Amino acid sequence: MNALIIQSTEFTPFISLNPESRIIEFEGVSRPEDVSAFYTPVIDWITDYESDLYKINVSGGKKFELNILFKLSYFNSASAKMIFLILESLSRIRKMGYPFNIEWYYEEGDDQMYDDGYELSEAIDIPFNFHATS
Amino acid sequence: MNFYSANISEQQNIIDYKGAISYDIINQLLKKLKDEMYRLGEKLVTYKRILILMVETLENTSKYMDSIPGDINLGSQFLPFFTLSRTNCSYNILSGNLVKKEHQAIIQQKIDQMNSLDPTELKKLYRKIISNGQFTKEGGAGLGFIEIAKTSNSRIQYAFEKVNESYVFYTINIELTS
Repeated sequence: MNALIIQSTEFTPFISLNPESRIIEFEGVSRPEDVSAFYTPVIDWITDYESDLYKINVSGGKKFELNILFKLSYFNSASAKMIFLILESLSRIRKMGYPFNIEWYYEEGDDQMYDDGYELSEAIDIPFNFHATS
Repeated sequence: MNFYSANISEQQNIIDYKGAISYDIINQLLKKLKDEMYRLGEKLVTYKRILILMVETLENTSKYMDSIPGDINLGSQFLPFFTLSRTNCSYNILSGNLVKKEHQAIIQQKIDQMNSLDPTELKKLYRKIISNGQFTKEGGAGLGFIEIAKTSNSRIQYAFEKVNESYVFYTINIELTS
């Protein structure tokens, strides 16, 4: 499976989905003009990755750890729904036994971004590790 | 509605825009917000809260404007507008745009629902809507008004003024206490 890398713009995030390094990363601002068109390849990639991990799982393959990094500084409500879809896929991967925590970075003093992460964590029922950056 | 002129003497306009609302215009207004927040030395969390309120309000305006024919001309008093102002203790968003008459009841119902819920109930509704996997036919998440209500933590005021048999002018007023 190939990595999917999307470079950032002023109003869309950098996204890196890398099966080799097992790092899934989102960084920047998420306010795409067409949220659905922007996130469809990302959702498709995660869904395919989930299928691959399922196949490894049922064939008795070794489980490995994933790194999920969110370094977003802002996302609109339509993006929130897409992020939730991604988290749902990740939640199923976690239930297959692939261990990971979600690392949620926010700028020091940005209580709003912390609250947004906390809310998503509660909604998806996966613990997030919170990191204030300066 | 009396909120148009409330505390006008104490208010300082930060952003004052009148005209079409598009994706690019919203981006320009957001850049202006960032510059103004920096100039005012505002706290990061306050900037982020205003950012949320601005985006959700303007994207909502843009969504309803998309359903209105581009060649309609009812006069400059019915052009969309967006104002962000501040007083000593709060920021205030006042935004207005035309909507089809048939959309009035839907908007009114949504805002009334938000105004009837306490913060815990708003969080519960947020979780319900974010996890239902559905998008509106305009591609929205159905979370805009919930975000506005959660973030402002105050009652959303609104008004509808009849324009003609097909359209009403919708005005929304949101306060963020700093």
